[in-house]
Amino acid sequence: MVIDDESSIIAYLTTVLEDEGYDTCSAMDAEEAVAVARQQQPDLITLDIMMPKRSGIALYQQLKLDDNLRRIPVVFVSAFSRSSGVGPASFRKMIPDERVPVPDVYLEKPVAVPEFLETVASLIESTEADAGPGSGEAP
Amino acid sequence: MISERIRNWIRTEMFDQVPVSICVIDRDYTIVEANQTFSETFGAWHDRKCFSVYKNRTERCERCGAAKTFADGKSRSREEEGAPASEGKPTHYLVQMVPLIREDGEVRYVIEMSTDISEMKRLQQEKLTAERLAAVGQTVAGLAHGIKNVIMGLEGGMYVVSSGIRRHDNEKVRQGWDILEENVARISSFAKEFLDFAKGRAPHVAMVDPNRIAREIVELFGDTASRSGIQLEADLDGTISEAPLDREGIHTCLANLISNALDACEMSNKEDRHVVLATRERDDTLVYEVTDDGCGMEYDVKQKVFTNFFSTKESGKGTGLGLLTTRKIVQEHGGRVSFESAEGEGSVFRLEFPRSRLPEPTNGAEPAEGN
Repeated sequence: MVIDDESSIIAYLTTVLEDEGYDTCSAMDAEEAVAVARQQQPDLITLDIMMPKRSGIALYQQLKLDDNLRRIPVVFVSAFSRSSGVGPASFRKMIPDERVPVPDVYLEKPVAVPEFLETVASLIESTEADAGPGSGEAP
Repeated sequence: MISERIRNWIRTEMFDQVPVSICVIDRDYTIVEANQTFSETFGAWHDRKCFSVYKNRTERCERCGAAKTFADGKSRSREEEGAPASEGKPTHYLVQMVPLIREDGEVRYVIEMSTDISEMKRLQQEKLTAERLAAVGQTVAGLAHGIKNVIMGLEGGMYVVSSGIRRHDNEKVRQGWDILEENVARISSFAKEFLDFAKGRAPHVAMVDPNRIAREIVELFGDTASRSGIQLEADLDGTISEAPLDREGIHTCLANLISNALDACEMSNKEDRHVVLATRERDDTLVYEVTDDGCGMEYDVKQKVFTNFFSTKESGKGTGLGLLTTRKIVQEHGGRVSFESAEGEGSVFRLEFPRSRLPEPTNGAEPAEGN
């Protein structure tokens, strides 16, 4: 599932994922994202940080505090560079709530397609391994 | 108890030794008495006019403070630029004028006390330069951020086009092509805005009524606000006097802040939404304040408001240059931008201009002073 307020980024990332054989869905803001995620139960979410209304960070917190959604791995895809302070340390400052885990992966825009696909594959794989065989979730 | 003789000696010494140039002038602006520091700083003064001693002038200064003190009997102080010192650098003085009033109420003499504040001025200037450089650095960082988004868009467009060709999917090709076109257009508009931002325009500083600019802005945005069902109001302090400002620059700043405030209101789901543009004068500082009860900002947005430029608005609604441009213009006026915001409650953006740091008018005309 691709969450970004720019339709071109959604078209890009969903095409990349579809070419690789994944089914995709998308949302352009936090509210829509929660609704779609609840309904579609995606295996992975890519999430932009700067979005109107509510930021990706706030949405991430909501996802991780939601019993039905917290298992979904999240990849941040944003134009913030690591040097501008988006990292585990600043993340804890933004979200002091210890129940919210530090994000799995942060990719900087523009993303390299091979790295993006590798990240997606390994996160989905490790989540499935955690869940164990026969956990019942369709891909 | 000390004797009268000792007391007089102390008084004389005190008068001569304080590190402040003190002189007394009569109503003809002739210096009738001065202390030793004054003689050391300005040289011979006996029977000379103050304007001749201070500034090598043959007639009274246009904005003579002493003349006002002779007229109204009130103490006042102001900053003055003195004749260049030996190295050719201008000296700056803080000049205080105190009336010596006769029993019948006539101001016979005025005491003028000049304190050399050149070093303080130099430090202040250095600080302003450093602040400007820091703003440039942050702008460059922000520029990189904006460009990364466009690159991602271009790469995305290319990818979607080639994916469409591979799949023989014309719809996909068209979608990719649209993305390419959209991002090429974004580069053009970015480039234009960056150029405008970098070049800026030579600020034209003139004495203007700060409230007038505020009123113009409220009028300008009145329609936009009412169409969105937002109440836009002006709350102006009528006692504010004219100030040397770049009118067009301040116009841009206020327009940016009001436009942001209206957007913040639009993003909020509240029924009753207000934006107030207020002017204030506090401690010799001119203040513009834009308050909205819109959506407010979260912690992470607040963190990034100035450190990087970004926009939380829908694509096409902003490049994120508005606040940076605002800050640049405010800093050119020696002022500062600050804000407070609470998520879900609204924001206050404040432009503060200490009058002592405002630039000189560029048109060369002597500013008219309010009484």
